[in-house]
This record gives sequence, C-alpha cells and structure tokens, in this order.
Amino acid sequence: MTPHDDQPPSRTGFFRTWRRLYGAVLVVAALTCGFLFLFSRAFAP
Amino acid sequence: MQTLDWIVVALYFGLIATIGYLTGRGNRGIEDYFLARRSMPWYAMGLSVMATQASAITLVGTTGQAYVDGMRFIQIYFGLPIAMVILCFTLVPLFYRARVFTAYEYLERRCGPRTRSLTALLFLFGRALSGAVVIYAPSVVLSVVFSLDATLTILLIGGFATVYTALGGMRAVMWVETWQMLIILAGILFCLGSVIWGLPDQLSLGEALRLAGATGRLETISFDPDPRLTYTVWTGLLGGLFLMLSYFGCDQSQVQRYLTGRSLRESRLSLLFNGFAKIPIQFVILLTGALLFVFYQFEKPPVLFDPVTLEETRAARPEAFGEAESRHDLAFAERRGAALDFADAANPAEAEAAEARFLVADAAFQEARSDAIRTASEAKGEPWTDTNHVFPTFVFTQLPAGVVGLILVAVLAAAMSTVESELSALSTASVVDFYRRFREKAGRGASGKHYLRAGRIGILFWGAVATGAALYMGRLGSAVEAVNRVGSFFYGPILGAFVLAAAFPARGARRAFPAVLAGIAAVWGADLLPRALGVDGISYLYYNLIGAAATVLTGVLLARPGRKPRHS
Repeated sequence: MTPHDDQPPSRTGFFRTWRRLYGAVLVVAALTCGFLFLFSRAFAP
Repeated sequence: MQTLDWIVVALYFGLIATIGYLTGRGNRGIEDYFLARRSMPWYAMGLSVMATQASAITLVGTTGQAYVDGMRFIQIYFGLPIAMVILCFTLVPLFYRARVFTAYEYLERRCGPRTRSLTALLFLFGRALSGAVVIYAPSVVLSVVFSLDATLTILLIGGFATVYTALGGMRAVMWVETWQMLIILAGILFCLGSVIWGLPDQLSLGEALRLAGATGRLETISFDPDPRLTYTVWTGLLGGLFLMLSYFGCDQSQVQRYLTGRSLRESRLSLLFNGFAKIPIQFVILLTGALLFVFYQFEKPPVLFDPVTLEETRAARPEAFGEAESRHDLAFAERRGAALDFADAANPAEAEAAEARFLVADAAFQEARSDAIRTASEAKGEPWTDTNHVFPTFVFTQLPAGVVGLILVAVLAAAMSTVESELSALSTASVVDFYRRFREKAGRGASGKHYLRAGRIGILFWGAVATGAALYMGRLGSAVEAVNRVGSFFYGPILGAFVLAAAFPARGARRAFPAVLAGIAAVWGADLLPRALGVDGISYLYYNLIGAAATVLTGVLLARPGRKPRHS
C-alpha cells in the first residue's frame, strides 16, 4: 500500500476523516428512512 | 415508434459507440483491459456500480410493481447504506491493497487454491445464465410494447454490448456505463415529470398522493416482525444488509468496478456515493409507478397491459374474459367518477365521501382485473402477470415522439449496462482465476498481450452464450430460471468465505472449502424444507444471512483447537 491510498475523503472541512463520512452516510440514510416513515404515515389509508 | 424516436435511439447507439471507441483505445495488457489500469475516478465508478445494478427490469418492473402493489419494495434497500460503510472499511481496503484482479484471487491467499476455484466456479455458474435473463426479459417486454421483433431486440442488446465490451475493455465499459447511468437518471426524471404532467388539471399533486395513499400504495414502511415477509423494515435491514454485502462485496461484476479506482479513496467514495443515492433514486422510480396508478384513474387502462396476451386470452376464453372485461369497464367508470368528485370536492366532508366511494369502486376494479389475469394464466397454462408491461404501455400510448425514444433508450441503457458488467466479470474470472493461473502453474506463462486476447475471446464467448441462451429462452425458460434460482443460493456462502478469510485468517480460513459447501447446504435446506413441510418459509432475503452464518460457523468449528488445520 502506498501513502496515496491512505488519503482522507477531504483535506479540509468537516469530512477530514473517514469515520465522519461513514457517519454522514448513515445519518443521511436514517433521515431518508425517517422521511419515508412520515411520508407513509401522512398518506396512510 | 416514430421517426424522431428512432433518431434518439440511433443517437444513443452512436454516442456509446463513440465513447467506447475513444476511451477504449490503447489496451496493452490485462490490467488495462480488465481494470482500466486502475485509473478511474470515484464518480465514474459510482455511476457504473449503479448502472450495473440497475437492469432494465429494475426500471420497468419496479414502476409496474408500485402500480400494482405499492411502494413497499423500497424497504429491501434499507440495508444498502450500512453495507456500503461496512465494505468500505473491511473488504475494499483488503482487495485494493492485495492488488487482485478478482475477489476470488484474494481468497486463495487466505483460504487456499481450492476455495478460490470453488468460489470462482460458483460465480461463473451463477452468473453465466443470468446474462441471458437480463437480455431476454427486457427484450420481450420491449418487443411487445414497442412492436419490435424479439429476436432483433435480443441481438441488438446482446450483440452490441458484447462487441463493444470485447473491443474497448474495462475503461470503455466504465465510461459508457457512466453515460448510460446519466441517461437512466434523466429517463427516470422524465418519467416522473410525464406522469405528473399527465394528471388532470383539477387534481393537485397532494390530492393525487392522497388518492394513491388511500389504496395503500404509498405505504413504504412496515414494522411487521414476521420473517416470512420480504417487504418489512426488519427484513430490509437484516436480510437486505447481507444481500448487499454479498452482492457488492463478493460478486465480481461489482467488485471489478471499484477495483478500477485510481486510489483506495476513490474506490471507497464510489461505494459511499451509492449508499447516499440508491434509496432516493428507488423512491423516485416507485413514486412514478404509484402516480401512474393515479393517472389510470382518469385514463382508461387496458384490462391487461400486454396487448398480445390480451388478444390471445380474448380468443381462447371469450366468455370468462369478456365477463371480467365488462366488470372492469363498469368499475373503472364508477371509480373515475368517484376520483373526479374527490378532486372537485369543495370541503373535507365531500372529499371523504368521495374517497369512500372511490375505495369501493377500486376494490371491484381490482377484483375484475385479478379475474382477467387469472383467466390469462389459465389460457397460457402457467402463472402470468402483466406487471412489467404497465410502464412501457404508458410510455408508448401516452408520451409524445422523442420522449418515447428517450425512455426506450434509458431502458436499453439499463439492460446493456448490466450485460456489459456481467460479460467483463465472467471473462475476468475465466481468464484470471482459471486460464492464466493454471497456465502459469504449468510453467507456460505468456505475455500480457496473450492474456488480453484471451480476455477478448472470453467476452465474445460469454456474450455468445448469454445472447444464444436468450434467443432460446422460450424453450429453455424453466431450466434457466432454475439455474438462476440455485445461483442465488451461493451468494451468502461466498460472503461467509470472505468473512473467514478476513476475520479468521489463522484458522477458520483454512476450512473455508468445506464451510462454503455446508453454507450452500444450509441455504438449500432453508429453501426446500418449508416446501417439503407445506409451510411458508422465511423471506428469500434471509438466505444470504443463513448461508454466510452457516459458512462462518462451520469454518470456525472445523478449525477448533486440537484439530490440525489442513490446507484446503
């Protein structure tokens, strides 16, 4: 493995570590599911 | 199909041929040919990963499913973002650092050569004929709805994809797939826009959603804990997680995409991009289908969406079908009236009364349609449904020239992107996991050019197999389906082998070969046993979890302390 492979997702800003980006993916997924839940309930029969 | 549509289709083929030619030149060895010299940026890999997963039936069938059954299907993707994150810090770095061509090559280093051969063979077996299905299924639908010749459609999809995959190699395939996915996304948005545009003027989008919701078509979340149900949050999170881990982590057609990354960072980002975007994209596709249901409250739909089967059933069972058709027409008129009253309602009380009438009429309508489908199935002598014909019928009968061509191109792009990925993955596994490996073992190593030629021949061979099988699918149908079904049993056990290799490299990995066989037996048992007992089995989404768990457990138990590990 070369140092090149260990690059962070971003050099500056919030996503400086992979852990933060992974967290963001999971948070966005959870929010999407939350939206689907509300959508489902709003138009429930 | 009008001239403008054919021009759009011709432009599409011209575009991908040009991209394929420009990006596919200069292949010198198999790292070029199979892995695009590991030079791809994340966005191209991400779109390519999506394009590989999105087959034509995903596009056509998913909208149809939302029309018929609602949006519950989206739940099977709930495990996908979690799977992407898990893969990013487990298998992706392992593959990338090992500089392998195939996922199975990595297994040899940890689990021995027999395990590599077994998993690569299972992949070839599982994927070989699924290529035929991904060519055949959309071809039949397109040929019926767009009045194209089925043989011509099969040859067009299979032949064109085979030729430019063989000529251009991985770089060409990936860049073509990037554009194909953009076309698919544009097609999806066009479809949603077209359906909303087609709704009556007096009906707001909110009212349209309320009508769809009244029949349960917008139910996207179910917390039912019953493991026999496929479309629940729990099955999606747990079963879907293992399905996605198996598919994205162990299936060469996906692994090969992110092995082309110019760095580990790019490979990880491509998968995370997929984790971000997949559920929203599926939501838009399913919403299109649900709104299509609303559209057909006001525009009379055919009793069966497949015109060929419609005519055949009318001729074969005139009385039963005629009676169902009459009830269908009456119920439609009643339902349309109630839907219009709902749209025109001056106050909530009127809207509620109209909604109640609408639901009664819809139940009668659905019953008449079910009877018509049952009569068609009886006439055909096999179970049949027109789910895959709903969306193409809308496109062909309702949309203007040019847009029809664009949607057709999106469906063709979805079909071809899946075929390309499968062919290049099949050829890579054949050449790297078998041909090159055994040739070099026998001391007959050859130049990169030789293996590049072998790779091209591999793609042409697998393309011919898939296209040929698709042409004879009518006769081979049940056999191909059986192979595909059995092929899906292997995903979980192969994932189990990777878990053994990555998490138990010292002991469990050495027992991976018998453990994979035990995993396959476990999945087979989970599928067959309930049927033998005449009860409902658990959802197929759990099969990957069962297969992976059985494999890991067997591998660890066989390697328990006191037993001398034997290199398998």
